[in-house]
Amino acid sequence: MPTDTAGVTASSATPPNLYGGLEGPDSMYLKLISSDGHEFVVRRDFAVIASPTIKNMLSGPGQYSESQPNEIYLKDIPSHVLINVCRYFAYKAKYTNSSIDIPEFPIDIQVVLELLVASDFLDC
Amino acid sequence: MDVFMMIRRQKLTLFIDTKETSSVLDVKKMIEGITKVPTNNMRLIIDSTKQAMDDDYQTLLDCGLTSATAKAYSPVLLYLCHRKNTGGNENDWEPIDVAELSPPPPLPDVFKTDDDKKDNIQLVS
Repeated sequence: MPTDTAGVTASSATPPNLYGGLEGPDSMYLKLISSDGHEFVVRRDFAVIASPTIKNMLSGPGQYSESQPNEIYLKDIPSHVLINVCRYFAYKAKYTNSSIDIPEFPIDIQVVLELLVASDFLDC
Repeated sequence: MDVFMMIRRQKLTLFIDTKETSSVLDVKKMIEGITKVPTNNMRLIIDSTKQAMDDDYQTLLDCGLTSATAKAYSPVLLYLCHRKNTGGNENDWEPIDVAELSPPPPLPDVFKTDDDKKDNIQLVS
């Protein structure tokens, strides 16, 4: 197989690797799993910057066991809410410290209440 | 400029962003890094046009994915299909199969109609 061993070697001297994976403590991506088993893969840096809860889950001293496989089970958040959360992570990462006009983040009214609960949990 | 994509297959959704000048192959390699499926066994289909992105060397711009249509808060939806390994036919792809998201709960009455809003304001004050 091609040698795109992204993230497998912990101290890779390769330039910023576009083809990041899910392995290792410095993986480019994280997998967030909703209560109904849907898996959402997001950029690690987007999630960690937006949500202190996720950041703590990953860097806690073994208190949360999500640190190794880079998978976080969010058993209180259903998929239709988590998909909005992931969109928000990208939105926040893109428009934080931005000089251009920031467009409004559209939210479907039906998910608003549950999204509020999720954002309280994730602290973002 | 950045293009934000939501790539879905069954119960997996990948939120991937890249430049609009990246090629289709670049995106497939990013997916390979996450799913460990070889790029030649994956097929990406644009939801809005139902067109498959089969030319690996086209850029996302060529495929119609621009930073204006694929925003961070409104990523463009692509479907991912794997090649069925039937041994014989090279062009045997899975059908597009994406699991439905959970249904939202029914709206509470306070959200229902605009007429009710006036009453709510009085309650708050």
